[in-house]
Amino acid sequence: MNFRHKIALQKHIFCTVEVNMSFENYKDNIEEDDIVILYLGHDYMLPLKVKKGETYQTKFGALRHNDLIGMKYGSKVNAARGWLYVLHPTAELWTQNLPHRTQILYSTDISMIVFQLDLRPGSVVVESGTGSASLSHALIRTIAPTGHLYTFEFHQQRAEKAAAEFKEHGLDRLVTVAHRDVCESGFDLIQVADAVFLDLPKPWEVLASSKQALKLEGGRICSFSPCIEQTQKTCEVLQEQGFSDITTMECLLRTFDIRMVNIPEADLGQAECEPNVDAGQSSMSKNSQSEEPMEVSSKVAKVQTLSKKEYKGLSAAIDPKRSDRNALVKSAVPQGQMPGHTGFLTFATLYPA
Amino acid sequence: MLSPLIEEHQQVLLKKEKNFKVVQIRKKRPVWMEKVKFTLDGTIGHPYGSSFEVQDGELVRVVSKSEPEVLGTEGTISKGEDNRNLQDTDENQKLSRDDITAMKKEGVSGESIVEHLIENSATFKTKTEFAQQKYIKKKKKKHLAVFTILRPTTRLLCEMYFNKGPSKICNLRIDSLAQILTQANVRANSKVMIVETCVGLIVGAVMERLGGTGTIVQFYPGTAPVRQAVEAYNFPKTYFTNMHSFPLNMVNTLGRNSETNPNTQASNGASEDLNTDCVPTSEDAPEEKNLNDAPALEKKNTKYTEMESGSAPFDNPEKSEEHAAKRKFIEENNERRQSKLKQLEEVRQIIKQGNMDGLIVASKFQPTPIVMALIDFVAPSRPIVIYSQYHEPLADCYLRLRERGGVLQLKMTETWLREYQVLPSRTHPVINMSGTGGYLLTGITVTRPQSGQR
Repeated sequence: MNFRHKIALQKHIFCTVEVNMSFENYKDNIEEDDIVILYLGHDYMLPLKVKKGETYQTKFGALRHNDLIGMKYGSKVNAARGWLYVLHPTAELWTQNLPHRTQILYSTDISMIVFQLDLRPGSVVVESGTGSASLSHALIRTIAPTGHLYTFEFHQQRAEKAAAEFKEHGLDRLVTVAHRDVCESGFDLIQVADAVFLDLPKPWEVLASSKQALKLEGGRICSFSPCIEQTQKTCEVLQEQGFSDITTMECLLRTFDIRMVNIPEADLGQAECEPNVDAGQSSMSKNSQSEEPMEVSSKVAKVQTLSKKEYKGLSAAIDPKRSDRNALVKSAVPQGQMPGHTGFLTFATLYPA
Repeated sequence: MLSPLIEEHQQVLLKKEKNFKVVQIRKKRPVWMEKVKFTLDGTIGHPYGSSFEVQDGELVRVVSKSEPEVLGTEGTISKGEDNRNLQDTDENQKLSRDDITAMKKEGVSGESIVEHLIENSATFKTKTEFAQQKYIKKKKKKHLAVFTILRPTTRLLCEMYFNKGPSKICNLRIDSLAQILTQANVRANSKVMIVETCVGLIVGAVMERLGGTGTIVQFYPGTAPVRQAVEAYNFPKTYFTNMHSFPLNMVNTLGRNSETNPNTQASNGASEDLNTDCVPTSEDAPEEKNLNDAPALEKKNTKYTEMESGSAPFDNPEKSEEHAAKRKFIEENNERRQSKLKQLEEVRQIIKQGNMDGLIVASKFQPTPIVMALIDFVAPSRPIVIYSQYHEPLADCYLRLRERGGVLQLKMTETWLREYQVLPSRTHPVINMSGTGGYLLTGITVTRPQSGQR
């Protein structure tokens, strides 16, 4: 594939064409051949390609594609045993729901990469390896409609699958997929890119070619590596190749659950000469005294599906006369598990000579 | 496309080490940075990313060296194994501060000064190789004044504000801003509503990602939107064609029952204080001032004529000229006021169409009332992103949105960011780390059920 020829072509393409594909631009209503995202519950979504006459079996019942066509994105769809929503595809929803062919990058790292590479409409990006095209979709979203992504994958079937996917998503004019081992053969691109992204086992082997691919006025580079040894070697060679502002960082996501938690008052016993107020306790408060806070909060975990009115009822049931401190507290609770590591992100700048 | 060369009148980022400053390239106008004063004329015509040294108050281009820990001359210097015998006293360095100042005055280069410091250091030879590199890096940082001129980007501007004045941007750290832009799916042709008190950094960042396309409606507190950060980007005028503003204190008039009659707006006192979308130039401030000073000026003119002659204005031709000029001034003000009201009405119509592609809230205010007021104008299946320095207001907003319904995938998150020092045999996380960069609440809008339906 002759990239230089391709580049020459790109410069003369005026991208004011109205593209109907729902991946690139927002549109109001669902059309045939759109990829939609079915929302079945929190963090439970499925991608679906809309095809006339077809039916899709969900856990709530059958979903006829014909019913979706013409429907507004974001609508609720009733099915035999429940309901679901139909959402507009975005790069983020795609990342969360795409079929994995490799380990993928998630939106937290993707956000930092796009931000640190200074990407915007019109940017030209070089990426290797393509993998499952999670990052690729986000890059294309940011550089559209006038930019271009050159993405390289050394596994033939993955390269073909990615190319087919971009075409199905109406994004193929914005991206060129190549089946190639860049560590062996380089990118074969001269001074076309604003940014280079590497997610390779040995990124240092392709830094010289990356330098060549970047524009004369300079550009940004990012290398993502799970291991510290890879990162060390990459930084060393970046330095040797004349890159500046070499920075390595990690970015991790912490998610919070917002719910009412029951934090009961302990019984500290009676002060002397005071009437025994415990005598007339309701059974509810008696239970909350003896149970471990953990057990109670698992009971209270059901509380989050209650309405505001029912919250108030619950707190009143706990004897208010005992103290003026409400046992039910609104809390932003960090989740028990959080990602500890995805990879080290190394960024650098190539300044003009 | 943007010129890769530095031009006069451009806003640029002046960088020394990790210190950034936005300056405008103006010939013969000196700037100050880290106690050094110099003009920027020497940068014009050179590519962005070039490095310069100060010579006689002017910037002169130098070839930037990218190895701060190395001088290139230490190959023959011996080194020690560890610091067991190292005594840390002032006598270790034979050169005094006065000696160094004298050398600088003579015009000795920074590199040379560092070499002299090494020669006159009693302990350098006994330091370990790593300690020697650290020493050289530290001395170079102090004695080499190398400035780089960079093109302003969101990444650099956010870092600058976060390091120098985080309260200006509600403590928005770069990773939080990065998440906002992605979660809100900011991209070409998007229509974005923004409520921010981050001196315009969010607006600038969104404009960068829109690339001159799409639409922005910025809701602002007070009398005018603050867009100090936007100026740094050097956006062309075309980027501002679809930039709209709407005062926050009129958001409650956007409700379903509100009138769209312009006369109603006038009587609401939507008058001189309006400042809808405008290209932020230096003319802005004076223009606004004129509008506010109009009544005062009128009074002043009247007083002047009365003092002068004590007679009626039309008694002589000079006075009638003044009167005509005054009348023209008042007419022009009225025209300006009418055009601003018209602009405001146009923005109102844009908002009320209810098909905005996203809502970003990042302000010092309670987010819940703002979100509840504006979410109705976001189309279904679009992202909403709310940033807060604190998590309590977001928890409150979350619960209110759950009650309201019509938002899926509500999530409250924060990102944890840590930098690493990566050097051979010396790799570890950096010693200092940011403790917080704020919190995010994100969700996706959907159509709400009609009353009576489940």
